[in-house]
Amino acid sequence: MDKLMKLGIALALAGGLAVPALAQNSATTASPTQGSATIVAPITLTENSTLRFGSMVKPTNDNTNTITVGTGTCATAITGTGNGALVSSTSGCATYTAGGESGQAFSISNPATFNLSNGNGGTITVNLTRSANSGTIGQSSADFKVGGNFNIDKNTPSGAYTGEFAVTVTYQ
Amino acid sequence: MMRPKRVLAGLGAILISSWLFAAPAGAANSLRTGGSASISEAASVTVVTNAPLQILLASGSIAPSGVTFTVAGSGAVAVPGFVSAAADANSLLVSGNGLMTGTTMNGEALSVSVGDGIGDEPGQANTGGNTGVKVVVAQFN
Repeated sequence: MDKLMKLGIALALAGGLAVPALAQNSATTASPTQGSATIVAPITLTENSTLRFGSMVKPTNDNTNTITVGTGTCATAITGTGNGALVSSTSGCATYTAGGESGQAFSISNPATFNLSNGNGGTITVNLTRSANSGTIGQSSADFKVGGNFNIDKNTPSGAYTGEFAVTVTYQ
Repeated sequence: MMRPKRVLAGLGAILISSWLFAAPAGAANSLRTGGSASISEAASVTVVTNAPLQILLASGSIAPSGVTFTVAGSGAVAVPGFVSAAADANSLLVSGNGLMTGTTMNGEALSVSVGDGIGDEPGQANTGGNTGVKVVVAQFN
């Protein structure tokens, strides 16, 4: 079989294959593709209260105290073998409410730690905790809390400490 | 074999999805929250060889009213207990029973006085109070 004959056969086969392809292509026009879209309201986040550890007296012995604001009752507690003490003051965890499309699930994120500074070189690292990792808009789980804890010892500089951390909610 | 129009529709969906997820302007929201704490320097008030004070407190009890400072005992001294939630943040009391000799109170006390808790002036020891209960009054800033 010479080369021209082989080429002819090949073209004929290719043409034969192409015909069914076109036939299939034309058949799909009778089957319309479905399209859909869901539009939801933007998610919002409202801060109802900040994270306040309150006032405390640092220990005078060589031991450490841990100051904790839990996400349950949001009360401040002092633990550890240091002889520090809490001073009567306003304290509490940070509370938030997520808003947006009712029934839409969302996730919550925040850094693991943030720093409190007294403006005079003193810095405290706060370990953050939160009441939930996710919630649903319009339900009770749309409200969540962030607490934290840090250690103090006799070398912790005195003063009024402040700082900031970011909290983010994202539609799932 | 995948039909060409479905392939195109799939590609379109992927492109639209990519566009949607690449622009999460309303899909996430973030804010920054303030945190605060106030740490105070401990000031010590140590009861040592104050004979009148020891006599006053030897058999009496310290009236409970509130607490903003810790009390640590030494030797055979009974360590007073604690109560929480002081009614007046500017005039707070520590509660408990026991001898005060060798007792150290740590806190931001500006002054400490002894009395019966009924109209006593700071700094005046009162042995004849109406209640017979001796109190240690600590003024805080």
